[in-house]
Amino acid sequence: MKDEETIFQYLKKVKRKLRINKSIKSLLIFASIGAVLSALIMGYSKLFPFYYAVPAALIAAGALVVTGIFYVLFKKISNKSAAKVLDAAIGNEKISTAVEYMKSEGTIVKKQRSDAAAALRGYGSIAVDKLKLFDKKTAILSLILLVLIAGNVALTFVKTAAVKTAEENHDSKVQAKVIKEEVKATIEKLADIQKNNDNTFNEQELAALSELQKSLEMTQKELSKVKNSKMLADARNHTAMKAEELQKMLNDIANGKMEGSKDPDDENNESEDEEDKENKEEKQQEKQKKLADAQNQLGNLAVNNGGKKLASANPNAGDPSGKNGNSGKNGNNENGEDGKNGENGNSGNGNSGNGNSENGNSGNGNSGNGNSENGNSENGNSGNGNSENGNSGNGNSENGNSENGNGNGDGNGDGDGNGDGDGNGDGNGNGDGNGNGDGNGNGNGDGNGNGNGNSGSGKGNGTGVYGEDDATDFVAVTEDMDIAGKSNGNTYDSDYYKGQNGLVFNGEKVPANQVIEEYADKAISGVESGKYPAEKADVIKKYFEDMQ
Amino acid sequence: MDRIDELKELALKCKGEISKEIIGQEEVVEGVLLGMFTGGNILLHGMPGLGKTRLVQTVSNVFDLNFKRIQFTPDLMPADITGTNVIERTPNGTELKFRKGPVFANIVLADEINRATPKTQSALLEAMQEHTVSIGNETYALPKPFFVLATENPIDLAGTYSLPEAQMDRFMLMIDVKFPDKEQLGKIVKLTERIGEENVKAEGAKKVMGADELLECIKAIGEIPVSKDVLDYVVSLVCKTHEKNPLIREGASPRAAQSLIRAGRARAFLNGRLNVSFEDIKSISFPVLRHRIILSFDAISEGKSADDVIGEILKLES
Repeated sequence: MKDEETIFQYLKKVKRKLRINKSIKSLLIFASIGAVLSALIMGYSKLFPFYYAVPAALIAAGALVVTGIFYVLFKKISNKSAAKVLDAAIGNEKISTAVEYMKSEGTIVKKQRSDAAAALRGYGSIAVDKLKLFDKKTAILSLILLVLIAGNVALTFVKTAAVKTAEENHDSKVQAKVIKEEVKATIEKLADIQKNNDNTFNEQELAALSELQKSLEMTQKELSKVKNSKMLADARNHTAMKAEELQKMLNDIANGKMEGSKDPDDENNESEDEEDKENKEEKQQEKQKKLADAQNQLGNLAVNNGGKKLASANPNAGDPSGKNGNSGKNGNNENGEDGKNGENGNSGNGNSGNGNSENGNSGNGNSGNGNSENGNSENGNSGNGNSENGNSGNGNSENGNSENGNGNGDGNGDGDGNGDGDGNGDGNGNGDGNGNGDGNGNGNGDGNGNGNGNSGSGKGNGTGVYGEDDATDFVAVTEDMDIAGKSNGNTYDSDYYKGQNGLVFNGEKVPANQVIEEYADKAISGVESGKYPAEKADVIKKYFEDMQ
Repeated sequence: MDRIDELKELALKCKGEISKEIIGQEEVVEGVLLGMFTGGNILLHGMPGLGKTRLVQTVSNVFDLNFKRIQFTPDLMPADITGTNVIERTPNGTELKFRKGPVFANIVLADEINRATPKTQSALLEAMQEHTVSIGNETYALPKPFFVLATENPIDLAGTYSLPEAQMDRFMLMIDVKFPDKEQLGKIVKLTERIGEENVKAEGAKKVMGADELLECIKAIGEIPVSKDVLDYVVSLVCKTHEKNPLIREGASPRAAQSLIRAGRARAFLNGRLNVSFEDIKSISFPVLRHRIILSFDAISEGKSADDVIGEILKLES
């Protein structure tokens, strides 16, 4: 064999072994660096909140291992490196010199090459065998890697305050995202309403809806910035407050009470004829229908974040004010229900204490007044009561059944048709329900017990589909009462008086100071919880201090 | 066996032949041979009576070369070295004829070169460098091969003129001739005084190769390949002498790197190899560098020698 062939043959053998040896070492080194990086990331996460520490550590380690694999695949072993390995065994740089001068043809150079080849024939195999795939260095690197991996695994189980904080922060972000999605749904709904407006809403109302949308978009931004539980709590607080305010705005729009719009209940609209009034009524119902989902969403948004859901003007809902209610007049409460009333809301005023609407139940059912003839408040009691269950309303009217109808005992009524629950106590009495005719809604909490509750009127708010809008005119009295009453400052000497939204029934008499105190407490707690703008805090406090 | 192998064998034989007359002093013998096989000049640094002259005589016998000894004294003139023009009576009258000086030999032993004046020293140094002698308008070539083995007496420095560093640089190697140990001294005395039967019958060193063969060896040695790694090693060694070092005032010149390569090749050849190794360079670093680096006052005050400094540099470069 020629000298060059001999030399290359041995070089090839050495290169193969070198490649394996170096590959193992390189991979071990890269893996060790990856393990060190992972340990640093894990260590960092034990001191500073970092939720994704484990995946980040795994990615870092994995990236370095992959880099190592690529490095090994593309790294070439040169003839020079292989020659050095052979020289280490044979000595005196014979092979390195021969490899370097492989292409030269000088006499001395050729002779030197021959000498190198002769040396390889004699000692080359020994030199190749001497080269180990797994040498001491590889063993040490393996040990180091094992220690690092063990360290990383151990770190995973260490729980520090920072780890807990990271978990909490992550949960907060997740929750904020959920709320953000809810806000987004409402924004989309409002956008849809504006986009598909077919003259249902006027310019002011559209502008208001646009403002609503922008306000919600600001809320979205705030939620996007949530990083920890404190920020989440603040964002939820603000979301709830905003949702409550926006609900009011939507209600106003639904009720046609936007500035510039004519109050549909305004008795001075005498210039309008019956047809105009009917058109207006239809438009109003149309508005309420369109805004129903958005109102519901805002209500849920408020409730989910610790706020309140206001009764909406949703046709199904029954107008808490009862104003809409259709009511009972038609009586069919097909749907029946009444809405629940808020605890207060019982229509203490009652309902139909006057009686029951024929059809229907006083939604509040308390009927003490009764039950509708038809209906039973099975639950509902009459009595003043409230049905044990409190449903009032179940009573179904003959026609109607409010099968659902109820209000739950608490007054809430979730029930299907009812107002969701709320109604109660707060009197919201919603009516979401279905109010139909139902007198639902009454009892809104706001009024509690007031007369809004109409149910006495049997009107049931609720825009009932069938309802007529003269429910307010309808008063069922069993006694000859002077409903006008006389006013004596803040008190009335009549059991009933005509309020803005209908009849107001005297409820339990409470000293004014007590009321003022209660209001003051609520206002101050609202200031302290950040419900009101900071700049108004002093004004509010001073106001109530002056009153007390 | 080809010619290169023959020359290698002859070179190895020269060492053996010289050791017949020179006891011990392996480093000195090797250094002298390195000088011979590279055409370089050697500076022998040692006390009188250590066999320097005997060594040069033996070397000249082994290589069958013309040998001249010049004893440098303070009154030695340049013309005493190079030769001069003299007036000679001829049948036609008188004419100037150039009489060659002792420098016209293959091997010149310049004994105690530090005793002559700088002017005389420079005459020899010019011959060493140029391998020519200039007299008036004439330039005379020196014989080939031409080697100068100069000696320096480290004692008796009063009235001497130490070779300037710039001139020292012209010597390829500076070899320290050390006092032999007891055993070696015994053998030297026995041999030189012919004590013992074996010494009485002992033959002197014989001729191994002639001038032509020596020149062939010099040419072959000049072609020995040097790998890039070895070259880089040589370069970094020399550069290291110029890095900030409190013990070195001035580092070695580029001639040091050239000498390292030439001497490295010669050493490889003398060891039967045709490539220069790191070991060759490390081995000849001391004789090549010790007279080329100028030690600082700190080194001298600490009692450090040039060899100590070179040893530290070699450790760093390993």
